[in-house]
Amino acid sequence: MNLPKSTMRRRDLGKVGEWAAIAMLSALVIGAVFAPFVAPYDPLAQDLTNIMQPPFASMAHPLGTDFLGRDMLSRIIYGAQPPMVVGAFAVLLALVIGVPLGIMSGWRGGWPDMAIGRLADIQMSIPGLVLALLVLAMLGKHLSLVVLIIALESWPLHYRVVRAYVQSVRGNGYVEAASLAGVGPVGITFRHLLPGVVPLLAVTATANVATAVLAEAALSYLGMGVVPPTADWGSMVAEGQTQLSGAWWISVLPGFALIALLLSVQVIGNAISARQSLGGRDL
Amino acid sequence: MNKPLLQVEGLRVDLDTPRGVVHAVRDVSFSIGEGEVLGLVGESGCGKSMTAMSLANLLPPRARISTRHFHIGERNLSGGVDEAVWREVRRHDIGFVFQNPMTALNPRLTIGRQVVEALGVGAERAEAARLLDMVGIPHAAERMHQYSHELSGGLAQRVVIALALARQPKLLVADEPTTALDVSVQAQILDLISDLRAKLGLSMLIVSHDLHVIEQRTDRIAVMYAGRIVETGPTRQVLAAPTHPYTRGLLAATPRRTVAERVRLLSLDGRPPLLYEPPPGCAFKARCFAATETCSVTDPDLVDCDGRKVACHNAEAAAGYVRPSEPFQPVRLPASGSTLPIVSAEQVSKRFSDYGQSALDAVDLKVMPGESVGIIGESGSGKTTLARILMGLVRPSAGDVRFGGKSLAMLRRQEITEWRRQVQFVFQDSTSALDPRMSIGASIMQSAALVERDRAKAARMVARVLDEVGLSSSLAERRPHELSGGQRQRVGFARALVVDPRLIIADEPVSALDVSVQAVVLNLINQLREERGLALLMISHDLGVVSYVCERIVVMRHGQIVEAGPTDLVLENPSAPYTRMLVDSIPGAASAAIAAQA
Amino acid sequence: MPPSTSGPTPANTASTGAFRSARLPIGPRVLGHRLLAAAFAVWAAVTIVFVMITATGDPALALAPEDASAAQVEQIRARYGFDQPIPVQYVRFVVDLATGGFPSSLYSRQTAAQVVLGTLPNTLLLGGAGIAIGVLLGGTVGYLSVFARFRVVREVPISVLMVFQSIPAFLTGILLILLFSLQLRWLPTSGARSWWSLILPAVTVGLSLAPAIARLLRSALMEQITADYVNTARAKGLTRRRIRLHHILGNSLVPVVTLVGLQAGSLLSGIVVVETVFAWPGLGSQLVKSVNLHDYPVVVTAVIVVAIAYVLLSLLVDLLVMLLNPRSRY
Repeated sequence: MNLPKSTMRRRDLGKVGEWAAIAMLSALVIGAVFAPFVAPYDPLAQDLTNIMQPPFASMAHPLGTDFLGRDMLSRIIYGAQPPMVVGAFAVLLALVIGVPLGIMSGWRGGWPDMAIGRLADIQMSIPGLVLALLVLAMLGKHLSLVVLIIALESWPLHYRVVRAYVQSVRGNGYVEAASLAGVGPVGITFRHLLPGVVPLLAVTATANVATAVLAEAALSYLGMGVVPPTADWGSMVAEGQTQLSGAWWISVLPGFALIALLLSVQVIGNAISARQSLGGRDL
Repeated sequence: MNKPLLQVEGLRVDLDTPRGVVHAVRDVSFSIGEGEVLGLVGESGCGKSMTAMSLANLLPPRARISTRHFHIGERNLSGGVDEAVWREVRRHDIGFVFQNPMTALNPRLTIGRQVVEALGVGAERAEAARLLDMVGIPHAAERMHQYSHELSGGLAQRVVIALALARQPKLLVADEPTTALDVSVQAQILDLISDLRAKLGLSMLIVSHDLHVIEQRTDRIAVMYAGRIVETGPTRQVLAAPTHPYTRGLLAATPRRTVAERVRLLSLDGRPPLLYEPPPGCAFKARCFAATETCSVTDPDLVDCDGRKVACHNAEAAAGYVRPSEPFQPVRLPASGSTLPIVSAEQVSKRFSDYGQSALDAVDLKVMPGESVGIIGESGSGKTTLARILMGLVRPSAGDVRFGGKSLAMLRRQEITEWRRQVQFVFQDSTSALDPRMSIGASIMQSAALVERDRAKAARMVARVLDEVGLSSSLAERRPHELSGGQRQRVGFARALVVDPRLIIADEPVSALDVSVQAVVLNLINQLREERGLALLMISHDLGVVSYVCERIVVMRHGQIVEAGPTDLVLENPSAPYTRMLVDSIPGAASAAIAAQA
Repeated sequence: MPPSTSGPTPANTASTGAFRSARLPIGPRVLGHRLLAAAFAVWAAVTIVFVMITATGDPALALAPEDASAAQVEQIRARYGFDQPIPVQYVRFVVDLATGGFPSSLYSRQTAAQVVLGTLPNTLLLGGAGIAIGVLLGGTVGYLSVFARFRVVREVPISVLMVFQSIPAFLTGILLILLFSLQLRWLPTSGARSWWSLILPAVTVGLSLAPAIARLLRSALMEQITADYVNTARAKGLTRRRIRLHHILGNSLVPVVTLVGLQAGSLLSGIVVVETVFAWPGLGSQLVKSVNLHDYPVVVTAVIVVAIAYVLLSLLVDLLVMLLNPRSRY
């Protein structure tokens, strides 16, 4: 196979990028899961004699300390937990809601489709963050509410993708042939619909993880999600904003961690969707 | 002898693809004289469209074109030229007409703006209106405000022709200009093109896979195979007495559309070679009945032979090959004695929405055991809807569908299974008819599960039925995309046959196939009918195909049956004006009719 | 290849009808549909807000200032009908909103509506500037990524922009402050004292929109390049520039405009965050402030105003799409 050199070089570079993203994501997740074993300090432990140490200054605090003397490295490791937990659960809930509704809507059409469609459109009346602010203001700052709100904002995405796919495939000969051969709707769903839907969901789910993490971080930044002193990247960025001129690392380092997580998720998502268009032959 | 208007020698087109370089056009040479019409014929993948498009470098960006010699009029384009020169060629020398008029027009701009754009800088709307008038568009001035989706296929193609002729080119290139159009419109467009050619003194290059179109409308013909021209000469001469084995095979596989000329079709096994590495020797040798040692070694050049040029080492030897010429009748099975039709539609109507026309209007149809019936109609005639209603895929708005005399709505559970077994469906689009994720063997097994639960026995049935349709059982493990279109269509039949049905309803089973492959499937259908006593209901738009396979024909239009009767009778002596129009629209039919009367 | 075997095409039925002598740019049926959908969305937003209010348990308590006496709370309850059954409350709520009779802000002497509408112009200014920057930046980078002559120009800008897709808006803001305000001292860190203060927040908003636009424009252009009508345009002998701008870009606008419509929600959310980062005195920062102060009348009013703005923005986008796409007009 004689491909031009530039194409091969670009492929290799792409592969390196993908592996780097997978490595980075794994590191962050493992760090979050095993935080008590990995972090050198208790994230809440204050050391008022050692406040605002810059990073790389001492071995004791490799990433420095914040304005209460708390170790930055430990707080960053622990700070991964809220966004990841919220992200994971919100996406799971969104999938549980969106996928079955999408299959039913796409398959049946008619008025169930219209009713669910209206329901999905309600999401289009209030922007997500604003709705979250309203709910959390009225009902209190519970993390479970945050998960619920993000899931309710996100399910239409999966729903629409699944519905569009099922609609397009429903008219295909092989689906009709299967029902002519006596395969029931359950059989058709599992045998013919789901295998095609899963690759699409891989793309929407990774996108959803990114938006969910982003939403949690933004809410915490605004003081509506996780509140201090609990370590959370979003709230850490907010805490450090007043110290930007003197101790920039208090805001910036958690920010970089957040970027690292989001970037690796995005790269992996791109890789999955690229593989689909090359390998997928179903139309 | 005048210098020809266009002459090209040694044309090569290479395409860069992810899998390597494809040599789509390999050393093609031809010329077109003033006022002459050349037809370029071949099946899909032979490079004819590429050749036509390369005349103005309308190729995709990853294509490379080179010529030893190339001139149009006074312009010399040999070797390579840059984009500015090609633009001049496109503006002043050559006009192009494309296959699909609906996508060839920009959906976002009005017709008027697109025509004005074609006329060049400083053009006026009045000129555009005149141009649209010239191509036969009624109410041209008002139509200019319309968008492409508001026009019918025929009108849209007229606009495309107007665009092509806007700046009075010397040569008109038409790439499959009527393939995407209904039969009744095809003749109109071809007539328009002929009229314009006479009026404007144009030369033309018509590219088509349809020999009937080429036969009537071209002076000379060039047959292409695997990127090369294998035979070229005066059209009538080449088609009446083809020399190259491929040309012979092509003609032998093309259904004749008049009853008088109908003969048994011969098919060509195999497929054209992939053009990544130019195959050594002649590209056709694998499928050629006259191949010899030399054919594997040297690629034959075009040599003069009897007033035309042929690229074959064994042209004289091949001359001895004679095509079957006895008249052919589609299989007619003895009457079964039963008076009960397998399926019947009684006064069936169908409306898809509350406003708008009905798709079907009080239609009666029945299929008796062992009978083969063809439904002929254009798009919008309701033929597919009728077939799907008979299959039970769609419910009629009014009327009744009966299976063996009993209404479908009244069938009990076992009877439904029996109905599903006895009446099977073959889909038009073989690509979407098979689950791309399942092996074809598994797809057939799924159908077999209706009658046989035991997997081992079912697997044996699958192997048997694959053999019956002429496919090796080793193909059972393959996925659909690994098979050719013809093989996929045969799998579709295998899936229908595995339950041992009494009737197969086939929706345009051969329209997506190349002519040589089409013959395989048509012969298969006849063979299956003979061996199994199978009844057939076939939908088609092609009278030649229906005539080859169906003893009875039903003509539909706008949701109604216009005429019905024995095929030969209806085709030779149609009583309904619409049927007469369909029959007359086919090139070749008129001359036969006149000859028959003489 | 056979002609299409679908039913009668709309083209056939339309072409027999009247020609375009004098007709609306957009068919009344489609327009009516769209307006109805917008009204439905506003109604849904109002209902959601109402549900939230009643779900807090005691709305009267929520609406009263912290130091109100029991009698004052009782007064509020009677005045707004919180002692009535829920359906009645709902109707009164909607009527009150429509007529503008909502309680005062708990922290200023103005009514909630005055507070909210006072901050609205600043938000519109920021939003407008941000969208303009986002569209221009994203559009240019996207176009260049397909049509630029040099590979470097085609590949580098869009890769850089894609990185920004992974940077949350508040981080972009903080990094920009760090660089341009604190290190370089070119621009102010916050507030709205001068036109210079608009730059960083607007750029932040723009950077949150630009990557998606660039990406979508790129894929839309790539899709149109292989379309048949582009070949027809080439066959006419048009220059490459004309084909790219007039035909390809023109037909690629619809998906991009649609995207802006879909992104309107996250755009508005982004503006709320950016206003907070830069202490820009707009509706978003006012909303966050009020939430933290428990100034519920202002919160509720602000949410409803945002919802209305969101619906109007989506409607505008849809109308724009209909203008651009002749097929969707009827």
